[in-house]
Amino acid sequence: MASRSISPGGALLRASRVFSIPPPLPAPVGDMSSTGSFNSDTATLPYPTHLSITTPQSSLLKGDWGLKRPLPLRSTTKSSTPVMRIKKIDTFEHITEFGSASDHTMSLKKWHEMGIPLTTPRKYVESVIDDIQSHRSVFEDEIDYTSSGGANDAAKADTRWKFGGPWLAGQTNGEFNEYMQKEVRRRKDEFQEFLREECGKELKKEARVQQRAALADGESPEPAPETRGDTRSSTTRLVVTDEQLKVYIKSLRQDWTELYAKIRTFLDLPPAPSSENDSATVEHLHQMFNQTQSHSKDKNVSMSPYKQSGPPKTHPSAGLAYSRTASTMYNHPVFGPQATKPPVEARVIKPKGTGPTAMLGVGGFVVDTPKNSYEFSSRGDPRQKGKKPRIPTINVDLSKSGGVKAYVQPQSASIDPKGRVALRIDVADTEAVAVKEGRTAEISLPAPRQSSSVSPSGASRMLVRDDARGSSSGYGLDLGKSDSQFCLMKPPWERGQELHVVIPQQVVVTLCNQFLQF
Amino acid sequence: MSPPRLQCLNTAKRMSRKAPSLRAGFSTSQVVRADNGSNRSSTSDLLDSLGAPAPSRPVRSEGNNAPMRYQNIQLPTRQVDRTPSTSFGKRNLPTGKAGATQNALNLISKFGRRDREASAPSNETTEVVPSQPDTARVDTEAELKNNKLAGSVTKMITRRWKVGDVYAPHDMSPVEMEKWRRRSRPSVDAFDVLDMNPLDHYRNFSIMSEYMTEMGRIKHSKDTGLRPVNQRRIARAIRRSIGMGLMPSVHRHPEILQKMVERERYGATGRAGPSTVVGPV
Repeated sequence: MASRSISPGGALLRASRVFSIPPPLPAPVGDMSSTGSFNSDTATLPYPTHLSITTPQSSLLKGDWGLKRPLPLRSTTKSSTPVMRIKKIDTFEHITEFGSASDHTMSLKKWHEMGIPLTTPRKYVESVIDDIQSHRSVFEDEIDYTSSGGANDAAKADTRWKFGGPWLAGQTNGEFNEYMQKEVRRRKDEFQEFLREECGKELKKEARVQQRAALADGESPEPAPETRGDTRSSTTRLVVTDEQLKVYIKSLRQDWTELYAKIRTFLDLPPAPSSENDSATVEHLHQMFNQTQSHSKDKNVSMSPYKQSGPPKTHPSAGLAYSRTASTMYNHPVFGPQATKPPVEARVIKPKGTGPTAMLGVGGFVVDTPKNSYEFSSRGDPRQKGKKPRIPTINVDLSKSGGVKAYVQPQSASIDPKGRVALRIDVADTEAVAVKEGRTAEISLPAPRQSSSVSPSGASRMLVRDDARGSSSGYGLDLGKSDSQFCLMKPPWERGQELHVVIPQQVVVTLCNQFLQF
Repeated sequence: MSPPRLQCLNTAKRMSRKAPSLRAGFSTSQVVRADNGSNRSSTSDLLDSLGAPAPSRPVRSEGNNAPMRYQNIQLPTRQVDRTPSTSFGKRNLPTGKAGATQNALNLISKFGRRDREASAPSNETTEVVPSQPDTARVDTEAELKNNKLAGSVTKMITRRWKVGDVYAPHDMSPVEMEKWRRRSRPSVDAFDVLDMNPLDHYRNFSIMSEYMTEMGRIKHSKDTGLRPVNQRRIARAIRRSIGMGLMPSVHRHPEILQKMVERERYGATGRAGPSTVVGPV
């Protein structure tokens, strides 16, 4: 078809912003249940579906967003983040439908500030080695590509993140049946052709093996009778008779793993979830009964990092971050290079009183509380009986503006196949928090001599201050200036105000070392 | 050693007592200020006492009755509960412009008013007579009240947040929370998704009960979310089940009722209650 000539007006339209806005992504599906679920149509979606557009300040004041008609000034100029999403460029009522896109725009900005790299999803059953494997960056060369890389590179075709077919393990029965009826059934003839080709390849391989064997025996090489044409060039298509194809199909029916591999190649299906433990057990059984098959390991066990969770819908980074690693050192302007990155303040977005567990919000993303610490548990540290948890997560704390907040250390994140962000966080380092809050004077308190009296498991110590001066505050601690005098080991009620600082022994020791060095 | 949570609760209590007037103090609206004009002096007093950099005793005694009650007690808890109050006064009150803060204050004032109305006489007596033996009881009472207040505000968080949700400020607004309170109709046909024929499961009273009301009526398709074909099938299956005497026609199945009772009694955690053990009679 010859290309149509475009009128100048048409060319202008095509180059315009209106046509550069992509169609929206499908909205995320909610929970499927027979009784209906709790949701809100105006809630912030777990991932953005519309393009966010902005406009320069001068155009913003005129309402010019590069659209068909100017947007109303009253609703667009008041916001501190004038970023809009266009739901519909023109409607029947001659109105441009738009809404604020500041939610996802700000979340992205916050994510960039936190600088969290995106990794492949974590596996459920983890050994130490698996743990390292699962923390690979999504931008690693072995896993970050979409092309199948040719038929000869099976491993490459296996570990890519984008496939043509659906992930069967994540489908419901209904979806699977629909896929079978609508997609698979009509490709029956195509599959026969595909099998015929595969059969030809197989026969050629056999012929080559026979030739080699004949050469080894010293006989003159003769071409295999079944195959016609030039056997040397691989591009030549072999003619396979119906009888040969029948035999081949019969053999495939015996060998299910081979048949599955063929079907996977044909339909371009993502790898199926399989647990290494199972295959290891099978291997072990083979060895136990001394079978000869033990060396023929199942080739269909995929090395793809997405086989357990399913392939992601978009690029596995989802465009959130482009760094491969978080192994960068934070250089503090005063204290120099730091062991940990600056911690991030998280809010207790869901207290425990509303459900089974408390949940935190870190930079606009909801995460679970870190499981390796008692910091957020409602019962507190069992080693320190009677002491209430430092961060109250049971109920809303009405005395604090914006609710309870606590510092956490974001580690890494991955995107699950539904497009939701699974962020992994850790409890923030005490020293890092002190540096962040600018109260390093308090943390470097213990003198070298007194450090010997710290109990080995890390104890809560009371630092009592003479003068009462409310200056900086965090966690309900009220902390003083540099001129304040601290002394240890005195009951708090004999002094003015008290401070609770949990100082682990390592911190004390490192601090002492620093003191000695300076 | 004082538990930190108690400090916060005590502060919240003090705030709740003074909340309506505080709100008026923040508000830029002249109307609100005029309405609560009589309270303003006490509010500013409280603010002064809260935000004082060095909470010495004379300043405390100038302030309101709540801190005065604790004057004679030399316990660590009493001493400590000033610490968050100063920080609160420092941090929160000047930045009262934020909508979230305003909402929180509205809630506090609402619950505070309700509580005061409920326990007005007892409150009066305790404040007027700050005798030494009563203080412990008063303190416990206040704690309980504050716990209750915090619990009821917590219950207003109706959204069940899940890992991976993204939130913006408006997601925490009362409008949104009201939306999360209600259950929507199912958007997908459950039987289509599962590729099941309802008629095959007429003996499964558990499935059938999901599509019946408490009083044994078949639910409408606008509640079940089924497509017409499946709605007719499930209705037929229910009628068949009732007709065969497998299910009661006027109530839920007794076993399901028992499950409901158990869940109510032992929580939704699925712990096995004693009633699941059917002993020989």
